[in-house]
Amino acid sequence: MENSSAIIILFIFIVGISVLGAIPGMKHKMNSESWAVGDRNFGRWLNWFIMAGEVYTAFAFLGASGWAYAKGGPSFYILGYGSLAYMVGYYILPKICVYGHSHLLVTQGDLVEYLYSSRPLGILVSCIGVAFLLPYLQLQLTALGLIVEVASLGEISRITAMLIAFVMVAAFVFLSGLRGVASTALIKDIAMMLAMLFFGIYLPFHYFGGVGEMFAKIEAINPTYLIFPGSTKVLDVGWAMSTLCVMAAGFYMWPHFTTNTFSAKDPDVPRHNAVWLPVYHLLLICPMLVGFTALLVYMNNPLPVADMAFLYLVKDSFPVWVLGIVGGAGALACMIPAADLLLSTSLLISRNIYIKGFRGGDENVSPEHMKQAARYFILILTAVALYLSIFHANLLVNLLLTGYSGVTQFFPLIVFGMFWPKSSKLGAICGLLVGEFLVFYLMLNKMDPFPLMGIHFNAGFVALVCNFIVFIVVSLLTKEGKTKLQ
Amino acid sequence: MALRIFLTAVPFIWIIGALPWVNRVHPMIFGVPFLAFWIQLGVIISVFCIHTLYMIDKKNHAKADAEAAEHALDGHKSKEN
Repeated sequence: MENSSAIIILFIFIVGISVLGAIPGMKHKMNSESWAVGDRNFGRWLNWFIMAGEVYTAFAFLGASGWAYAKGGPSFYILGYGSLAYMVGYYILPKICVYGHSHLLVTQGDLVEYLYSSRPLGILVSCIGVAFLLPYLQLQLTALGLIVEVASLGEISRITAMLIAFVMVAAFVFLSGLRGVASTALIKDIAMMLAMLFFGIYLPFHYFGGVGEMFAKIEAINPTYLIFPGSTKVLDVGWAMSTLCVMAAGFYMWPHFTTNTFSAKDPDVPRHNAVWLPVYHLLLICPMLVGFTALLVYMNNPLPVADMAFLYLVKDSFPVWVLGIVGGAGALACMIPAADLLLSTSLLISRNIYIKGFRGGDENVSPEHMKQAARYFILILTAVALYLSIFHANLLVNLLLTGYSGVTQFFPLIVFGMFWPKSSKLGAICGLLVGEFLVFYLMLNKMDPFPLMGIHFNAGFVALVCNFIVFIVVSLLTKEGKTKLQ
Repeated sequence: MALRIFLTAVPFIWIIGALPWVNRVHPMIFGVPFLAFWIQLGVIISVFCIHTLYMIDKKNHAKADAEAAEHALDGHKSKEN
């Protein structure tokens, strides 16, 4: 088969990374602190690669190019959200790290429980967190299936790919926990940086003689394609501004980032990385350049799946072994974030929902037992995620779309909870419920973006504003007096 | 203190606030639409802003972290009351 070289390369990537991820687990005996938060001694560069690894997922690789291909100008919001999120992170992550160290917190649920001295609130936030993590995890799997299918030129079906890769990810997370994620993130980020740089520059030059020439051609066909709202009617400047707000606030509200931050050696690590993570973000223009190139190249043969624009263009521009490499890098871009998501989701379920919710608390449970419980849930979660990805792919699409908007609703309660002494538990609950209700209501009624006076606003933004107002008002009205931790 | 507020605000004003005025294709700089160039420039400016904040804090951060840890314990106690 002419594409056997691609398949072999893909195989090497997928198996290779799984072995690499499993090594820490096989070399050291892992206690629960090691496994969940890497003994809390990850230095700045390891933390950089883990955090960068989480952002540069399949979304960055394929989604960014897919949006450039399909929507044009609106994709440029992707260029900006990182820096804003990192500025927010500069302020909140060091504090989160300190809390984690002094109180041995492991998950985002633990953090909330600590801030408000409320186990129930911690459990509520954990449940909502899991609800949004699951579709995000499922997305990585689905993307992986597609990538492998395209890169193997259809020889390997999506389902086979998903099964194999995901089982391997589950295996190395099971064995190595966060250390497995860290060691693999390094390789993955380097591979992705190289791939993005190379193709982002090469492809426009190859087809059109340069980046400027490529954009000039697009502008000649449709002058407004390259700005907001591009090819859409609703993704306008208002949408962009409100979406950037949502992403800046919501970025670090994803539960797995809290656990990643708890693994840092000291608060200076996230502070330092807030400076240097944006540098990686600059590279995101590269997949977009590929997407725009693809737009012109496939002008007369629209692609069936916009997210595959990058891969199709590589397939049609290079010998098949190159496709294998790109497919391999793409597979890693799915597997490693999936590993981190799987770890955090299983920790939230086993620790905050199962042990703290149903088994009366973690004080009497040994760390070894906690680790076993989390590992047990990894297996269950793997099965559930695979089942949903294979048989109910569409069911979770709505949940995913609400994903960012949904976790952003944690921002008032977590950030104010850390900085504003008047934050109250009741304020947190009310704000959160109002926010989540609005997110779901607006999404299900197709009111995202939300039109107001001729401009459009991200639905999550609308919900966040209401959430803030309710939180502040209720907190000001309630007196102090919350239940102690049992 | 005013410097801190300024440095923190600049990325937001540049990347979000300025959008209505920079949503344009021309002039194309380095071959990319002006909008894209503006945002990328904003990213670079953000690196400088955060870096400057980091340098300012470096002098105080050992002290600040110890205070934060203490405050974390105090805050926890006052929430229990």
